Amino acid sequence: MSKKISRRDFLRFGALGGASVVATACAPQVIEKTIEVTKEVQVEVEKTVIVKEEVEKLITATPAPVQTFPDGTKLSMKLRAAFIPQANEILSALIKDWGARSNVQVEVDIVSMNDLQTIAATAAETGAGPDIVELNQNSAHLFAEKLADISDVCEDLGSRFGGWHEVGKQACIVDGKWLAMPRFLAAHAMNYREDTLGQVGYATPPKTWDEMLDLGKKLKDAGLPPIGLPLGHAVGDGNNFTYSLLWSFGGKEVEEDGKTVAINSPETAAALDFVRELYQVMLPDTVSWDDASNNRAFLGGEVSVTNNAASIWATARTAAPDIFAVTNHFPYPEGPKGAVLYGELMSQCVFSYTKNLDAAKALLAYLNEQAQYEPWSIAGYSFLYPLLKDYEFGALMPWNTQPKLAAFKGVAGLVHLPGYPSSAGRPASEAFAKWIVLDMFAKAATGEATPDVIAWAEEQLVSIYGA
Amino acid sequence: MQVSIDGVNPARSPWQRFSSWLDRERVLGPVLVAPAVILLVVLIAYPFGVALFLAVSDRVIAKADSGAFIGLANFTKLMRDSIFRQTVVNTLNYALVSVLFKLVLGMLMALVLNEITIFKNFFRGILLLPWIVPTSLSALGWLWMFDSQYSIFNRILLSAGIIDQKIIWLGTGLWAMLSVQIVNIWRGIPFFGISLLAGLQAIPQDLYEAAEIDGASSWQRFWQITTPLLMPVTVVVTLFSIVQTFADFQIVYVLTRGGPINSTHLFATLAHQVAILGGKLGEGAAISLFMFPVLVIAVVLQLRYLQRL
Repeated sequence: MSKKISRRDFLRFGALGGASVVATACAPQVIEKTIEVTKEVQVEVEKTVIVKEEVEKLITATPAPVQTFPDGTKLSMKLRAAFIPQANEILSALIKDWGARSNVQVEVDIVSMNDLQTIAATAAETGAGPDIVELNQNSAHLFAEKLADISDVCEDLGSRFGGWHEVGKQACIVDGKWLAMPRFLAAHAMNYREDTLGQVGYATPPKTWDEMLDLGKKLKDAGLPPIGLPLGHAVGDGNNFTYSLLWSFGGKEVEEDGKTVAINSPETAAALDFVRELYQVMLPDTVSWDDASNNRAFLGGEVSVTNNAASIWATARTAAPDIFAVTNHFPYPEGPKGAVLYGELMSQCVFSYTKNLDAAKALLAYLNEQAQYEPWSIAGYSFLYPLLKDYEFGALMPWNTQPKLAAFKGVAGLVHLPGYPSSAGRPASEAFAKWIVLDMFAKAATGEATPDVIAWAEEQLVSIYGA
Repeated sequence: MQVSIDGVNPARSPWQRFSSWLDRERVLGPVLVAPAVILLVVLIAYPFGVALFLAVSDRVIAKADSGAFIGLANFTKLMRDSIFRQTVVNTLNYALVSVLFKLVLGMLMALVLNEITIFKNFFRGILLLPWIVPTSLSALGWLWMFDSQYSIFNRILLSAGIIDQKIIWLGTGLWAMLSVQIVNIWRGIPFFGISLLAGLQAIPQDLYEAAEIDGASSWQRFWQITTPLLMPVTVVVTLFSIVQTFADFQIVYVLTRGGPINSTHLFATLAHQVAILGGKLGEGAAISLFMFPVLVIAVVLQLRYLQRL
């Protein structure tokens, strides 16, 4: 005889079922979620022979002892996805191992950079969220009031490994206190095709922007794939190009005092006139490029030169082997004032609402310790460039072992953050978010008169810095 | 067993008393409406109130000593900002042009669907897809179709000889605005089409037959019979669409993020850029509230029109 399920039974079973689901979810274990959403990561990168051997050598070394924490200690962290899945896996494994040995339950989310800014802003504003977040550029200044002081672990690492690079200190020290720990610099260089450049007499790549322009003209005249440098809203590549160009010509957004807008200068005008000329010989598509577009263009054989991290070279290994064979890198060209470059910096902060500050600091110190930092950094093919001076000289670091990655060496000492030469935090971030510098160059490149463009940029910057 | 208390009426259990209290219309009405009201208040009224407060303050993300009342300073600052003025023009352009095309093409879709007799449900289902598919996903598809390197449109146009140089769809101001309008129109046609179709089916057939006997052409039938009788539906749907299109975010955010050089920024995307990425919550709230007067006018017009019917 079948019995109809009564409401009471339904509620009882439903509650039991729900409770069991909740129970398994809360079981003490290291919860690991990996979300790969950057467009670059969509291209599969197999484990390469080069990196595998080096990394395995380091990981099999005996891990250092770690401090253990009382039961129930939990941490949640949101980190940026590196374009190489391998690096993300190594990082997850390192964190998992630390969590197991320190008796801390760590929940790791590896997400796209675009989401990180919103996550950090929400956490800072609402006072609740992840304990550790990876911030970009000088966001530590933006969220200063909500970040915990981690000066002790930062100073300790700095004193043992040769000190932190200037750009790291600028991003993370607010009012004399370390509010974030510099994590990595997404090192940039000019990616180029040895074959096409060789055909127009540039077997030795250009060293100055004037030579770049000459190269561009020669490539265009010869009907070969031209130069392509992004003028669209590409957060990484576009800003890298335009800020570096501006500063290398001697232009700047604001004076060192952080208040006087200084964009209206002959140096800025020179940079804008230059980009107008350069655009004539560049691929016209570049005004619509986002961060992944120049990768695709280079791998598709549409451009001979573009600025990027080593991701193009790394993906070409499997995606376009014929292009891989002729891909190399050269450092950013120099302008009249030398090579004053932009750096895309990520740092890790701990929010002050965390309940486990000591555990968070211990984890950050662990991850940035040489034995743990090196294997992860090596797997990044120079995309994960260290900010501790001694790490650069590690014998197994990619720029020391790969001839084609030599151009990335020493980049950390040349880079600056938006707002250079001032160390202003908030206004620089706002100008950065509003794309003032990039749009200024895009306007000039697509034909607007230089005085008008400078007037527009000045108006915008005055309303940001003057307010 | 029911025990008597006063000797006449049986005592009722607490549940029975509660149950009959609930049955009274004065109580049951509000109780049934309460969930919807709570949702509206929490998800719409409260955030709107917070936005109003933010818009007249100088609040900045994660800065405790910001948030002082500054009157209309945010609004006057925005009026002087060239990026904002461009956004106003962009939004008006985007909304009015898109709605016009959606209306015309939606009407066409409704008229055609009205005539189809075989596989009616299949066609209606298929043509409804652009509206149903989540915008973020369909916009990603369009992003690839508009990509400067891999655009399928460029391929077709180039090989047909219509253009001799590829179009950089999302690279120049005019083409970028056109691209986002195309996607908005593509998405919105089913909304108009299905709503107008419902209106069409309510028109009695004998009106058309009488007109045909009197010698009216199909064009005359359309303007003299269909259009007037569809007017209530058309007005409601058009005003609704204007409100939605003004507040659009996803299409522009996915395709251009407001670029190139702010030529496709709408109120919503600019507010996001200024408030979340730039940290200026007060200014961002002011930007998003600029839409408010327009939308209020649209709603008032709609309600007055409906009341007249």
